[in-house]
Amino acid sequence: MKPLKTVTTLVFFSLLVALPIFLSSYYVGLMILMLIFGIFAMSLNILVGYCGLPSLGHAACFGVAAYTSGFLALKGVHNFWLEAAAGVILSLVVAAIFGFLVLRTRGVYFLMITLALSQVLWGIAFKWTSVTHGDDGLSAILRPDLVFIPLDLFNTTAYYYFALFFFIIATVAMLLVAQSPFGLTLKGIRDSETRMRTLGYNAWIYQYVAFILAGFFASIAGILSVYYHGYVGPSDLHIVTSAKVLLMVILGGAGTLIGPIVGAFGIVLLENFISGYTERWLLLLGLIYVLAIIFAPQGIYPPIKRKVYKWLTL
Amino acid sequence: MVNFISLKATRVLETGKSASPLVITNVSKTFGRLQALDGISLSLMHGERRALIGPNGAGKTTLFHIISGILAPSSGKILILGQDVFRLPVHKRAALGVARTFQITNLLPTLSVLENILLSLQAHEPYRFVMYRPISSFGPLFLRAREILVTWGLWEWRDTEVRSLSYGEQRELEIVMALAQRPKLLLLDEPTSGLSPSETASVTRMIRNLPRDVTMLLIEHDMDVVFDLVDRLSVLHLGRLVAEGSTEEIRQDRTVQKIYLGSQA
Amino acid sequence: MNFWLVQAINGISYGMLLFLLAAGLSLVFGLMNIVNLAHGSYYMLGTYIGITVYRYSQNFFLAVVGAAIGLAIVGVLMQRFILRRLYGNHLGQVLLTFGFVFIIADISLLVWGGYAQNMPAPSFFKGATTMGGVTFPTYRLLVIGVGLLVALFLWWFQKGTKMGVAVRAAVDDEEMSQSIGINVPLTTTVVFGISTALAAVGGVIGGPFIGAYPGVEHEVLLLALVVVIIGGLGSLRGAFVGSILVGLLDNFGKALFPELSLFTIFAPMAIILAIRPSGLFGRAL
Repeated sequence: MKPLKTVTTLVFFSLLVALPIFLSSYYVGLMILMLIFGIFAMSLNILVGYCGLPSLGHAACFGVAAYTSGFLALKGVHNFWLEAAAGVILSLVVAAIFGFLVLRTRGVYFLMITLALSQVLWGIAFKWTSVTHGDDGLSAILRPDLVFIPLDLFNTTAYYYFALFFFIIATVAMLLVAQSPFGLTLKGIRDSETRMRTLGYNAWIYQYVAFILAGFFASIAGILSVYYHGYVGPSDLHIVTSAKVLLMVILGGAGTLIGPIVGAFGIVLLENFISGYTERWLLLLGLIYVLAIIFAPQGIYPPIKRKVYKWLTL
Repeated sequence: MVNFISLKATRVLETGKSASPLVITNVSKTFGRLQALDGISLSLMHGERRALIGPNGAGKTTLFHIISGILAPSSGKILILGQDVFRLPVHKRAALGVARTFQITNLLPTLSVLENILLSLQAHEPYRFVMYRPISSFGPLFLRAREILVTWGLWEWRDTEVRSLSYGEQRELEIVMALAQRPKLLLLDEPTSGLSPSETASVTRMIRNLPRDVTMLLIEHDMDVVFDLVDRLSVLHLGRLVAEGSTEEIRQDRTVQKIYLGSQA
Repeated sequence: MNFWLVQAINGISYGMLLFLLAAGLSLVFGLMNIVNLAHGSYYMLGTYIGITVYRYSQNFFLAVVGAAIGLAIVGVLMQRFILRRLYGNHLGQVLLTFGFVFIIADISLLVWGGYAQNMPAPSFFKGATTMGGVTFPTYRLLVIGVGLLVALFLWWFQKGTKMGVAVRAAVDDEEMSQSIGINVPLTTTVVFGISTALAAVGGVIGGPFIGAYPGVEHEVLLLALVVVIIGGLGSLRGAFVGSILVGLLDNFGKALFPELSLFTIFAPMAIILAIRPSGLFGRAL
């Protein structure tokens, strides 16, 4: 069992490292998107899978980080590290504030409130044209200037490895958290908050920290996104984005480490191929979601997991 | 009488604790127009085994919720180990040394038996916030968990998801989890409900063997179990404390008999 | 003074529109514990169907009825055959209903195109009415009237009819209700159908001044959500008060501070969340 797990992991990462060499820049770009959403989905999984808190507003931290970094880049800061730090910090501020407001609710309420809050941010991005350029968004953002690292990120493949670096860090971090005392506590709170409080755990603090942690990784994804596309717009804060990443987590299977990655990779590929074949890609995507949830209500990864890899649960 | 006093004094000297584990003064609880509890006063001595009995709906579980902090009383005072716990959140009361089981088994269903025990053990440890090290690297924690699981015969189930266990096994696990925390005040809510005779015997044995410095308040309907395990009883009926005394006294109390016979519909 | 009064009427009429949406949302979310993100899509589809019916019949009333019936059918089908399977599975409901949002959005795009469309206000309600020296757009008054009627109807339904009581019973305790003879599946389907129909009616009524365009489903969903958050889940009174509040705030916000408009509804929502998360009239969480 264990050798199989190690082998699969090795194969997976080897592919991630080696494939771009053989693919055209279009497909490498696609892989970059997969990595970005992989990080984004894993970050949301902290809330959905490990805390049992279904957030429909996760685009908030993603978009705020993207806008902040993009804005600074356009202002001529010419220093990726400063731009990114600002993006992360502002995103964490948003997470800290939202956390206070939303963690007083659960379930359906939590869903609605996270949705509403992030849509408000969308509205601000839409209307605050002086800073965000409204519906046009911020564009013509150049690839990051790494200052002391001589890497030319204008090359798609180079940017891919740049993104891969963060993806690996994020995955390792998630793994550590999942297996840590903190991670186990989160899962316990997800299963029964009353039981955990009775045991002596301050459930709220854990959920709050998890919320901020989730925001942190979402901001990384957002920053990678804005530099890759060279663009950020209100849609990055819109419910459609929040829903997309939530769907990735649900479809892949919440609560496991692999599930969200499978969901993210899968949906990015699906969207891309379907839109290549038909104009009615939105309809097809919707139908696929509907059918998927009817036949695999807990996500598509768990049945796969159950059938073959029982021990991949982390 | 003299023996009893010197026994108590010995206990006090042994543990250095003079504060009563639980003192409830005039606690009432209303839900809208429903008076669930009315002027309950109760106090436990260190190491005492007390049963809380009464017909269904008497308010016993509500009282447990109020003691553990899940519900706030409408009026009255609660002192746990000498501390007024007014507004003290559930988890802080647990830190004082209160552990409880629930009427409806409340475990962490998707987690394994081992994980449930680990969570019980690490609840008051500072490293429960650690995010960067795998929990398996905490040697002493695992050793203690193993010790507990082996003692209670659960070691072979350690990787089983709790929801796959039988009802009886789950109930036992809940008690083990409470005991693992070495509580000073243990609240057991109908631990033998729904159990087969052999499971009941097993749980009763478990409770009988509790360390003598653990104070226990037990809600139970099975009178055989009650009379076997406790020194004193408090009888609740329609939210009021109607009788309190030793097992003999209560067994012969007319009011209590009327309540039970009367409610045997 | 005129300005304030006209804005107030606009705000209240907008609020009535929101009420049509929020009432259904509150019922479905709060009472039935179903997450239905497609609620905004019902509104949009209602507008589109209303526009088409009106185009062929030139009859506004028919448009309303047509849209209501059409959406009620859509809603009932959705609930009966699909949503029922996911009872209790909130995440699954999110995925499912969002799938429907996409499906409805694309079908709308296919059938009606991507340009914003408006419905002309029915002829006898066009123009303005003067009351007490102040001139109001007549249509807005109609909207307020309709909103009040619907509110009264829902109130009566909830308190006075057997079905209304059945709904409340079924929500409180499904098993118990079923055991005393209440047909819970039928009741929930009926409620779902009513909520969908209301959204559609809102769509048609809102046709003349909001119109239909790709993206409107998200905007109205957001506003309806804010109403329900402020007013409280599962409470008709909350939906009513919340709608009027949000309608007024949004309207005055847009008129006075156009750049910060969403802030005028964000601030009260945040305040409610901070002080009383269950909303003004909602059940305690």
